[in-house]
Amino acid sequence: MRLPLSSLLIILLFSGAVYGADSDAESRIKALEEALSDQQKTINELKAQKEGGRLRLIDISLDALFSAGGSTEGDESLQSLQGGGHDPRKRGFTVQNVELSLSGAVDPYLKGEAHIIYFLDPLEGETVVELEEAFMTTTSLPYGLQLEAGQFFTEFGRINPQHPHQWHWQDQPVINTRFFGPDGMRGPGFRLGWLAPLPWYSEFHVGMQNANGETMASFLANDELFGERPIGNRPFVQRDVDTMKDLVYLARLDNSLDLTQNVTAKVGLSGLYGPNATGEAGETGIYGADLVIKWRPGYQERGWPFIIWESEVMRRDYKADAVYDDSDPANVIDLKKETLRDWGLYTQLLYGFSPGWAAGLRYEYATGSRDSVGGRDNDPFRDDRTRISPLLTWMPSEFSRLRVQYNYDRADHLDDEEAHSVWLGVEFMYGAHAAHAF
Amino acid sequence: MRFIYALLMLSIFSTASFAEVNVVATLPWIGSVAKEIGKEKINVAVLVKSGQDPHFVEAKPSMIVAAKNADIIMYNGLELEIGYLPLIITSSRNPKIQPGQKGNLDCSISVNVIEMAKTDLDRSMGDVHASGNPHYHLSPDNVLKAAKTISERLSSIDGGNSDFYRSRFDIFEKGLREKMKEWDERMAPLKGKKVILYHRDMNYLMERYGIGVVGYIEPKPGIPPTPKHLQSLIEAGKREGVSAVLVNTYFERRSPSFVADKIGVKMLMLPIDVFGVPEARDYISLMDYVTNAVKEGLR
Repeated sequence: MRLPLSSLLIILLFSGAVYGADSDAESRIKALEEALSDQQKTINELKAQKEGGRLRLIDISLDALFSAGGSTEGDESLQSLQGGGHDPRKRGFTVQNVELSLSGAVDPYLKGEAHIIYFLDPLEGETVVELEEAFMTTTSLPYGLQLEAGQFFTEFGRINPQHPHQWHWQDQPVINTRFFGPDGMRGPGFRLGWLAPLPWYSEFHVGMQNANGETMASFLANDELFGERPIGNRPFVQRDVDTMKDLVYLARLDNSLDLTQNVTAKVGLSGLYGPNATGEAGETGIYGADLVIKWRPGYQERGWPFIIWESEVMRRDYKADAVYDDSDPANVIDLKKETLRDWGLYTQLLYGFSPGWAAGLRYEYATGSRDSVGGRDNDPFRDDRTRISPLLTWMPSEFSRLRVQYNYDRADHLDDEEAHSVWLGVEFMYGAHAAHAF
Repeated sequence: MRFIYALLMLSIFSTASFAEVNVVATLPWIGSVAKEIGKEKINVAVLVKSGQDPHFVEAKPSMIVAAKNADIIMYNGLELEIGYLPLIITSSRNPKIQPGQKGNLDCSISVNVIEMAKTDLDRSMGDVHASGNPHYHLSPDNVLKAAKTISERLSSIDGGNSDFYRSRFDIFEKGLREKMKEWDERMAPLKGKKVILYHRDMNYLMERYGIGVVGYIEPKPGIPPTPKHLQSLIEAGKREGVSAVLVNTYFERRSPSFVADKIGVKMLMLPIDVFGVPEARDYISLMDYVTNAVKEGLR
């Protein structure tokens, strides 16, 4: 019994030794691998120590738009010809827009964003500060939903929700300044977006905002804004918010398709409804359609070449209430109920032809029906207008831009019905600025 | 009618793929490596085309739709996609792929990064990346590390198939290691040669094979060349005896071919990502193509 057992032991020992020779190499490889991965860990740790993985609390950026130029129209007339609050609108220099943007993650559920803008009033030279936007966006609601709440631009069309530095041209389309006032339509409220579970991009928005204030030109507006830009030259009527009917409602549908690998189209339909400043029965509906088509070829250098064709058409039904005021017997105001209809469009083509360079052409038209008090031809915000604007842009880098734009204007309210203007614009941006939507 | 049919097919496809993991990869090489590891267990959608400069991509709505349906989004990291990826992730409203979630994978977390900033940076230096050179995928060692990260993450979000992903990674590793030997042999004679690059996008390749970089067509990262800079580059190229000017296919050819002519060397156009040329069908064939072309060009 003893012998076999010991021989078995010896065999076991030997086989162990033989196996050991093989496993020796293997275990050395294993050990080497482990040592290597340990080293890698140390490298990563050292790397982490050096970089420290930053805690990103708030991204800050500043974007400044300035312009210089001149026009055949004087400064007074430019205030209505260039109806946008951030348009170049003074012979000499204009501080169009200096925008401070702050954004960051609030917590695991929300993102925060604020844009504060500064500019100089072109006539008075006074510094103006505006809370352009300040809102939160949810990041993890189910069913493709996203809620935004706070103070924000109304999601109508393409130009209105964008900040001035996103515009390819230096001024706002005429029709936007007519419907949405000098600073674009924005206000406190909320907006709910739903990304539909479809194979293509389809987003539906509904929103609700206050109807009053200087950024709600076609709705309740305020005394001061309506005093400067009365719609149809009607008197301002102060209205209180009594029911949900006294707020502004938005609906928007956005669809996008890649027509080819290099061509993408986006189509939007928007509608707005709310009360207006002409009296208790005054109400406004604004409807619009927008289309953008972008071509970006498979081979691009620094994002060039590209073609962007962008158009919007919109209509406003402004139901003005009747007004009767005989407090001043010399000047009795007696206006009937009527619906002032306005519509207009812009279409613009921008061609990025060589890295850093782009050339564009924009055509605009605006008109209306039913007279303003004093005649529609004399109303700078309701008359027939055509504007043609060629543009040349040079971007030394992603963060700076030089533009030169010529505006040919044909407007009934002007003395000789024509105006010529040339604007040279400079823009610079620094800081951490979030990417823009398509 | 045909349109409705196409819609129907699309919706059938999107439901048929229910059991598989939906992967969205920003760059073609990431998609290629992920597919090698996930094979039929995953669907891969790639956002950026190989001819596009990955620094300058616009977030298209279709990318948001892809991200909305993703179980995981895999990206290069090191700030390369900073101009569009955050917008895509936020707009997708997809809780699975938000930063910090399992479905948000930065492929650079385990790679060895070169050219990390040693001093403070600002934008007067061009498009600089403080955390190092982001174009790490022309280093096969780094791609192996990224592949491991990808297989581990796939195992973590799709536990039922973790053995599959592990074994696929082992196969990928074996194949890549064999190829690495081949590439090492091929490139060994080039050690000590010098080149001029357009952008800092092939530095990992040069570093691995001991090829010196004398200068760049861009005076600063992302900044277009000036005549003065090109002149000094030509002088440096002659002085240092460079063998070629290497240019990634999506850059303009005018300045690099001017510099190459003046020095009296060839300009080589190289794909930097999968599908950059038809021969580069996946990561390994890309590296095969690149190493062959560099070897031929620097001979």
